[in-house]
Amino acid sequence: MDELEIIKGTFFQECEELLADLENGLLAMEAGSGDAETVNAVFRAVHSIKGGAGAFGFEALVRFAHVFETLMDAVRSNKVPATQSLAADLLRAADILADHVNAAQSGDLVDEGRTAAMAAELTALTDPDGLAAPADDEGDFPDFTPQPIAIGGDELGDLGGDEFGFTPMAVALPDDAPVADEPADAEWEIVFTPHASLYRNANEPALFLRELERLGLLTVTLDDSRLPALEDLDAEGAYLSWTARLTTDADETTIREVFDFVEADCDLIIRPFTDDLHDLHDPDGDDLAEAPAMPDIAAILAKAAAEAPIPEMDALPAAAGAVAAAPAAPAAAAAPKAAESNQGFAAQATIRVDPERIDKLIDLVGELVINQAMLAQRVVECGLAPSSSVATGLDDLEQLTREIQESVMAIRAQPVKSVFQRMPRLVRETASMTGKQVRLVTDGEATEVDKTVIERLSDPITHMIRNAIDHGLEAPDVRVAAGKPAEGVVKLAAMHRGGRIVIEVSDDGAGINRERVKAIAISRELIGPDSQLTDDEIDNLIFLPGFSTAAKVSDVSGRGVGMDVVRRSIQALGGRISIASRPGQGSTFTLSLPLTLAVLDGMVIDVAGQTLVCPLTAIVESLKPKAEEIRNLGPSGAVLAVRGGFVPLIDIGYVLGFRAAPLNAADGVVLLIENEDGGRAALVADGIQGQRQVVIKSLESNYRQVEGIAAATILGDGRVALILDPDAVVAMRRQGGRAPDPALIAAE
Amino acid sequence: MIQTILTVDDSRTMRDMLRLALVGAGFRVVEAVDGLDGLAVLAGERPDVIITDINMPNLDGFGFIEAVRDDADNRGTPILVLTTESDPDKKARARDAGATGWIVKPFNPEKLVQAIRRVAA
Repeated sequence: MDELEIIKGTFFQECEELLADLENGLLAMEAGSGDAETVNAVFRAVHSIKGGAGAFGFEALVRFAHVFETLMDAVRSNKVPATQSLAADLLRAADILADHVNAAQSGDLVDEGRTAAMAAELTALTDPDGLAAPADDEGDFPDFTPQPIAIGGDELGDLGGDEFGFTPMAVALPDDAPVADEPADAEWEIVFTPHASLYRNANEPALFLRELERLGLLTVTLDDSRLPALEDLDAEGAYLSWTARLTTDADETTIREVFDFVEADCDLIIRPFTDDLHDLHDPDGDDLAEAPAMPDIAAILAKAAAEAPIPEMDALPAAAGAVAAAPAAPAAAAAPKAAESNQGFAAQATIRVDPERIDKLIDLVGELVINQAMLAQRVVECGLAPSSSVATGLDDLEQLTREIQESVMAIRAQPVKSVFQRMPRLVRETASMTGKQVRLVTDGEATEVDKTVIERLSDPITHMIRNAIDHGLEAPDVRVAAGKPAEGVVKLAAMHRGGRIVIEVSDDGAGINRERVKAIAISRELIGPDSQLTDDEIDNLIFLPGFSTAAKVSDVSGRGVGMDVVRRSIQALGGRISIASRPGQGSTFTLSLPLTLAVLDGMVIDVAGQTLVCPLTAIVESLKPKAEEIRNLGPSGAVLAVRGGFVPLIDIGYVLGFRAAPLNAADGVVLLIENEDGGRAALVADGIQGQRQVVIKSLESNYRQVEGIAAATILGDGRVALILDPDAVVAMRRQGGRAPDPALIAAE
Repeated sequence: MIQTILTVDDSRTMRDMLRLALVGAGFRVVEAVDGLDGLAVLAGERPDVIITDINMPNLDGFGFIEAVRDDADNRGTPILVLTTESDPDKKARARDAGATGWIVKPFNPEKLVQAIRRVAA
């Protein structure tokens, strides 16, 4: 890849970080906890984005960033007060800035109307009285012209502008030199008298003379008449003056620009050379004018060395040589490039790795785990004692394998922060669309989870937050009437619990209107008109396909995606979602997902001669039922009495079609499973082999989706085993209509 | 003789851009991420020219330049200020702090090298 493209990649990466800093800073300001450094950091973030964008010629981004930056500059110099309402406006501006960054990256167009409106708003905030600039668009940034960078080409022609402080010299610019407009070579006299401040700032008179020489034929005389006796000499004083005569086709502006850096640190006279002046200052001028400049400069350099306040005796003679050698230097010095490019990495604490390499490593470690399990099984088959050295060696290997696997998974683990970061904007936009006042509180951003899981968290969280604002929170006036603050709170939290990641989205709204939910469910024929449902069961009706509580489809949540879709996508990841709600106090959606999609702790079971794996997380307990605990209901239904309650018995082999009639639970074992919504079921299997960690192999990508089966794995003996999706097995049983009605059981 | 340039900028993009341009022009480059870091780098390096940003956390460009000018070992090192502002106040402030010259961003490699040539022996 082109080096510039790589830097562009860095730029967008950096933009992401800067936008996050920007948002965090603005949120702190909005919360009233920002100090001067917060304002500075916000300014710097916008400033850096603008700087990089300018280098790559992202004009629209630069323009907007410039308006933003101008306002932030006014804020940090206390010209504009940093109020909380200003921070709220700036947050919206930050969203648009993020849009611009994305647009620059993707090449898409941004919403120009929104940008212009926001830019106008920012300009008005910067200058509330409209005193400074006319209101037209160009007035916002009259003299800022981004210049795309080009490496290696002859791009000097683009860069004539005065705003850069200097202009390419005629020597370097044969094509662009204003030859046509100028009367060919003119003679100039330049009197250059440095002040002490010029030396203090590490400027070197000889270098200005060297620059002048690049413009044409140069003759220089030194006036050392003010040089005091050595004992009176102030080492840091300025005593010398130079008079140069330059024959050049460059104009006065070009000559003056040589002294751009030191205009305020010297006396400078630049005037066309006439014979009068010539006679006055330099009786031998004619001879000198023809003489080559070099010897003069060398002499001057030698003399200047006496005056230079900073001893650099070795550097100065070298400078004279450099006058001639300078153009050749870049080529000669290009060689150490490779050595140099390593330098920057020393300071970096992170490395970037192609994700494919990590995926490959994870696959390999998966194979290693399988291989290790196979080896262990062979050892057992050989009849070696568990205390034998081979067996203990294998134990160590197993330990190591597990550690390697955990370490490898940790490489891909990332904090959920990257997903959480996108939510404040979502909240702002949803709040403004629904006219509600919302504060987002986040917790547990540092919670880590596998990258593959993170990528799929964003959509469900987005939907749950939209849902919480749109359906959960009340309008401000309704809240005030209910004795709550007008501003609603949506809390987004992440935590590790029981080897899974749990995401909670809660609101302090009205809670689920159960009467209404039930009425809707009945009207849509999702439940029977006289169903007796518990509060939890009613709450969970919203996950049913085809359910929507909004009387009219709103802009926000009504995008054709219901909570049923959310639940299905979560379940596809081996996750669960549930809701808890309290009238008047709000609702909490709880979403739990495995930490990784690569390995799974499972219970290996026998079903009708097949080996299956049931995810351990789904299993509450396993038990061997007694005949008297089983109660048959109808020809193929049965329930199990567990601690005073009844749960439906579901034979896995029957549901999956391994056998024609369900196994009597008394002849097998029962896995008691619990859904996230609290529903229980008793899965019947023939026997249990044991618990094992298995590597998940996708069935979908290798074969096709199979109902009731989540994935596949390879066992220690090398055989393929299917991994059950317990919830789906329960659902299949229900759809088959053969499961006993829970209401009926409850009635007994 | 290969000249060493110290670049001080909190933006990774900008440091990379400077490195690309400077290494391409035959310079050796050392980097620092802010003014404080720059002073730390100067403890072990004697660059021919320093290029520094103004707006940086911890220690900004003005503070950094003043500190370099107060350091007996480096007070004679030319310092170029990188700035997106073409505003004369900023330049004057940088000069008062001790800056030798300035480079206005966005820069192009030739301009950068030209500015260095103006201040480096």
